[in-house]
Amino acid sequence: MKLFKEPLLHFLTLGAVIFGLHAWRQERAPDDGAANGKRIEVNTATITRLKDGWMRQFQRSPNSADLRGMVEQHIREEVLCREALALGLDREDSIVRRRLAQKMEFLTQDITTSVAPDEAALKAFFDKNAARYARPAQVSFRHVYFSKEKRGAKLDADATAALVALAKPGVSDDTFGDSFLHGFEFSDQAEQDLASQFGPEFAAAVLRAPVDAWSGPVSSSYGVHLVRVTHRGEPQPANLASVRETVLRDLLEERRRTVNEETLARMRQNYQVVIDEAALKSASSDFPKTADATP
Amino acid sequence: MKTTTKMLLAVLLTTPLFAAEESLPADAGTLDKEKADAAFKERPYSPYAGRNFPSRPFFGDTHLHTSYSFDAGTFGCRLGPRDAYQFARGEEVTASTGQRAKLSRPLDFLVVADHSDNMGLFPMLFGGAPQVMADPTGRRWYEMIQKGEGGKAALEIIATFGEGKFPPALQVAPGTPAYRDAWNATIDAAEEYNDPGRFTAFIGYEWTAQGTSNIHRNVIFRDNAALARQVAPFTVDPPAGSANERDLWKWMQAYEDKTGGDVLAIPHNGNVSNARMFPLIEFFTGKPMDLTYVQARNKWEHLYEVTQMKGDGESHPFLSPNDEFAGYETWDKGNLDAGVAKTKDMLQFEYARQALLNGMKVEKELGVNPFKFGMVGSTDSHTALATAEEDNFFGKVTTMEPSAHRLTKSFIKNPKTGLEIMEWEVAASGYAAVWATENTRAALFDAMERRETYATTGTRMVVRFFGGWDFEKADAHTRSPALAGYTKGVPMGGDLNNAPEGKSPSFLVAAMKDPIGANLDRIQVIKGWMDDKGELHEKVYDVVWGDADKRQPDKNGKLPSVGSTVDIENATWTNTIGAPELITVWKDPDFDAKQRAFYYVRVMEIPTPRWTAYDANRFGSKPLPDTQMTTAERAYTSPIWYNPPK
Repeated sequence: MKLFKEPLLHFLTLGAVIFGLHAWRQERAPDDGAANGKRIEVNTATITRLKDGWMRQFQRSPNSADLRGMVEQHIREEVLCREALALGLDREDSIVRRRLAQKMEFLTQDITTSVAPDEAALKAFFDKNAARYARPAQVSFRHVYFSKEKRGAKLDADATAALVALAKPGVSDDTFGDSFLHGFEFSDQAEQDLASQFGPEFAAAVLRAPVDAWSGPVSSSYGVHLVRVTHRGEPQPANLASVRETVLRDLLEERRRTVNEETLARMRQNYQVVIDEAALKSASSDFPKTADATP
Repeated sequence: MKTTTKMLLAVLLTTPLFAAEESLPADAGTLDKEKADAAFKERPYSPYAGRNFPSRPFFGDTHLHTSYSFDAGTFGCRLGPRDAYQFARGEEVTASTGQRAKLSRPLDFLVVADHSDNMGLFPMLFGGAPQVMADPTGRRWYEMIQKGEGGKAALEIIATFGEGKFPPALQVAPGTPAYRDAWNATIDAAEEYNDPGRFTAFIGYEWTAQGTSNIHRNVIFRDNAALARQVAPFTVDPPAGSANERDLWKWMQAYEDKTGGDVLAIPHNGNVSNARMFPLIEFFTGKPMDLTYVQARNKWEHLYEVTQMKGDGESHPFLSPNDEFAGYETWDKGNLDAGVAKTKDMLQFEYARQALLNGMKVEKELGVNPFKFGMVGSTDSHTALATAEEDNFFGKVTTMEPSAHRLTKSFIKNPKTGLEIMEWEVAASGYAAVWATENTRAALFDAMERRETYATTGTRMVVRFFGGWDFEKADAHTRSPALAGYTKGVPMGGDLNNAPEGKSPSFLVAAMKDPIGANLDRIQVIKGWMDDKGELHEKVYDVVWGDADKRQPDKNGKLPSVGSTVDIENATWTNTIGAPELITVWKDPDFDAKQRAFYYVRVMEIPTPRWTAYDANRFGSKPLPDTQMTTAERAYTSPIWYNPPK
């Protein structure tokens, strides 16, 4: 076992591997220059691609010196890249590997999503997920606010007194209560909108409050409120036409996900996967002997 | 469309404003006495007419990475921009580590800002549908996909392509957009999830200037795909890219000239820039900043990301020794990879407060303030999950997603310097709060441009801050303080010019706690000014606080601590101290009309358990000695500047 930790051995092994790879590459490389041979061709396509890239970054056309510079840079990169590939340096580079894996995923996703789903598929998906597209219940209301901070122990008494006063006809709510940063009139608010401004308890209570009458006091995260709901919109199922774009987006997103998993599973069948379970177990932090190895 | 109009109407109707036919000025707005008087005269009879000021802040993250960022991917992030937008909208997603994750409530907007390197990919095989349908193989694949056999089709297509047997009829013609890259995929995701009035998905990217002294910027587009697709993100590698911020600004100018679009840049992490974020001597020239640099920075960078997971950058105890709250979640060991240790002389070029001070000095010399920025917070998370809440923190990178081990693991360890930052030191911070008139790209972007923003360390407290010459105590007691704020003054991010004879600026300042968060400890106004000799000064004023019946400043003027209710072991606290809301009008008692000054607000929450306490509680893991287990969340507003007559 000790031998494997010997740096000299590492060095020799690495040397041998590089030598072997090099020899193998030499053998395979045709001398007269196919794409992966020794010929580096800078043709119209290459130049167009370099130029496009430049223009999207600099947003102006490159002059002759710029172009020459790009070509030189391209050649340099190409030489180094081919040498690196020949040595198999891409194999152990986690960034290269992940990028390639991502490209494969993009590719499979593109294939699925470049075909627009037909009407039946869209409708089926919409029906299955109708709840997701339905409009939630909404309320429009006015409120009067009583600040816990300002009124302390008198909070509930003040609010209750105001409720009595507001019950009389023709009384404006403008003269009651305290200042409130979010204002006093709200339109078409769903429970979630209200929760994010007043807290969840208030949101739930206002959705249940009677219409066209002052009610309360209702507690929020800040104090108590008297509430007058002016309009309540019951939950409404969506119709496909009005949420079409969203449904299409979600359907494609679902296809993307499933196709990736499916493709991976099928591709994996082409490989014989062998896992050294013993090694895996002994390398695990919860393996008895190495448990609690943290410093 | 109908919903959008309704939403807008709701926003408009919620808070009254007089302000005639004009909406909020495009720039933060400067206010002097004349303008204010003129405005008052134009007040219409109907209190509902012409109201168009922001009535609620929108919360979001301007800086989130997904698996498209190579470093995020390397750490194991598997979620892309689409997942990121779904999560930010409040949906439950499966994190890269397989755990279910959901925000306590949706965010209002998100910028996916992946590192901007480009990648070419395979052709879009079905680019021209008629071509595909005409070819029998193409048709068969098409039908397979329609039948839901996309995976099978993909395998066949890939195999055919790989063997070079791809039907010629399906080859994509030259000149067509044959390649998809990460940039276009990012744009697509933003377009799909942008939902005006409900959720804004911005197009953006991070310009990640190489080197380990952080001068990174996030670039955000006001525009849609049609404009953004005309360009590629500005990168760092020469010859096309550059590591000099001047070249980024040139790129931004060129983009706007070419497309008529609108972009802005937000720098971040001055704290790991080792003196390069807010320089007085330019790094690439070794000379003092010249007018070109100063003007460009002033034009393109109206905001600074002052708080995020890699530390908070508002103030440093070394620079602000008299500020008892300076030094929140401080990362001051070294630069980005801890490869060069920090020295004290670097700090003055790294922290926001000092930069605001230095900016006034440069403005006096060159006539333009290079550091005239407002404040936002953001996460810089590399997990595609914009989490900044202590009890729901998914960490900075995928390897730091919740586990029993993250209390004791190393985050960065540099063998060269011996510097080490532990995972427990990563901050669950922050979010950007934007006072916009509606939740759309345009409205949010414009509010960012006029700096009507504040940063939070993850809490969603509401903070108002207005400056003017005529605020009175009574304005704090009116039912709609924002009405007084906008009619008598300028909001956060604005300017006050030419003080009226004998007047001192007064400020209307208010805050409400996060509706599901902790009470407020106090509101502070932080003033920075330059005296007649050009010396820079700063002072922190406590202007209003909770428990005022029992808590008053001592004889030295120091307000006693609010105390703490935190039970670290059980990771709980109670709102039995502090206040749910605070409001006051404060007048500068030390004003000198000849001296340049800025004022910004810091709102402190009462102490709460830090994410480390939730971890220890939920996993039963044992924190290392010295681990910070409590926190006091806070918000920092954009400043209001006072400019004396020239």
